[in-house]
Amino acid sequence: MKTTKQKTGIKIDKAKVKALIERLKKLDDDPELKEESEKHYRKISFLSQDDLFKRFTI
Amino acid sequence: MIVRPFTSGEIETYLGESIQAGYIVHYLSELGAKTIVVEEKYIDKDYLIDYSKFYSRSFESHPRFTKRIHFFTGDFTETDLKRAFLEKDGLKHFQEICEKYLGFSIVKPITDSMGNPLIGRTLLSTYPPEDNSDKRIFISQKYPVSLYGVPLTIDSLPFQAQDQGVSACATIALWSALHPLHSSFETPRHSPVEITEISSLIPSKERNFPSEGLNLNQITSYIKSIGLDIETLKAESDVIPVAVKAYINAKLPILATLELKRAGKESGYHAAVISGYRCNENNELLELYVHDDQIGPYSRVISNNNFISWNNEWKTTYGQDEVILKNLIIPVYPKIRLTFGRIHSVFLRKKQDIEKEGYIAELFLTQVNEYKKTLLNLAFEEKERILTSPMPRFIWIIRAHINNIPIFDEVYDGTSVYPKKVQDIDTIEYQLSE
Repeated sequence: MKTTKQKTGIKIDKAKVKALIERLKKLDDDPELKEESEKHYRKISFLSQDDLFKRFTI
Repeated sequence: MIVRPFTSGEIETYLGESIQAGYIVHYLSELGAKTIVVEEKYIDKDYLIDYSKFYSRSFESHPRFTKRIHFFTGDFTETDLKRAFLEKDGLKHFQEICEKYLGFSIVKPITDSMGNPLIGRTLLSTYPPEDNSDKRIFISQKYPVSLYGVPLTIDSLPFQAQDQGVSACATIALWSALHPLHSSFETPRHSPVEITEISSLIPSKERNFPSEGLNLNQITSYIKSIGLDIETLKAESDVIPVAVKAYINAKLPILATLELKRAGKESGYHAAVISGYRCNENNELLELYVHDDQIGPYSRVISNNNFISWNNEWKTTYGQDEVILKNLIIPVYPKIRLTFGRIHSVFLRKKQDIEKEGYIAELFLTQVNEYKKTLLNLAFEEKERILTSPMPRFIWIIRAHINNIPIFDEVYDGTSVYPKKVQDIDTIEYQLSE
């Protein structure tokens, strides 16, 4: 069976992966990211009144 | 029974010379169509409802029957087919001579403004799922077809051309997009005339019939009226590729609203359905496939700016200067409460850290049964505990991978309002071969 390095050309460093997972976990509790998430949601998801009444006729 | 070779001349005889007919000929040629079989009197439910609610009350007499044209990769004649039917083991002989079934097109007994017959419900095979190292993902489901008693199956998403009497682009986009959700979420399947009727319960100054099109307010109201909810997204460059892959992988078709621009003319607005995509081994989006009622099923779209502007038949055939993607509308099951907008910003932030380590970050939505089925074939820490732990029905995954070999998944509860990990699961760390 081919190793991950043979398949991808990259040696996966387990310790680095674990450290990355831990860093990402901490982000889940980051209040700045939570605030950013709400702002981003409103920015990309809320359509304007103009958008709502545009008629698709073609 | 009529059997003819698949040539553009023969197809024109039945499908006419519309742009959609031309597209279907070209598309099926690429898939290797060789022969057509014509059912001359076919009762199509969608057309029959449109007929009963609209055409039956016209002064002009419109027939109730449609024609159904089947497409096959086998090279055979009417004599071959008749012989196969008369054999004792007819089904086996039929399968031998017909080879691969590529689907069918309904031809309605009504015409467009140019006198071409309107193309009704059309189910055509998709492009192959792999092309060298690229892969294609489509929205499709298996539909059973019976041709003179022969059981056939076609894996597809339905298409039909617009019929301005009862449906403009938005109605047909809703009809196509919502078709497969009937089996996933038990939503009703309406015919085009019914969709226009229900959508038009939200009043507008334009006529309902003949259809003058729908606005976004009417589109979203229709989706909600059948028990679904909606996700609306502005088409921004960092949103489109992630959203397309996330929702198409979750088997949720995406309604795309488009602005069509031509020099010296007022912009026009159009709706179509994103029904698939093609990506390379790094999961970069290369093509979209779109069900567009003015073009055809699984029509290719390419772009050089993350699919904000599209290059497709709207430019090459219809002569538009620009095709701009404005919004993505995704009909979702109401229990998918964690919106794309909320998880996307978490994804974008985490993606930076994942890419710093040389891995690729992916965001996708899945259902617990699908996800656990995939997990069964993978090796990861605490496999027994994770597989036997309860999970919500809908899950958002942020995955770190390299060449599609998963390294770890962060598992988010798709039924929560805010981004929140699934209780007791959090992260799944895959065991990689050293």
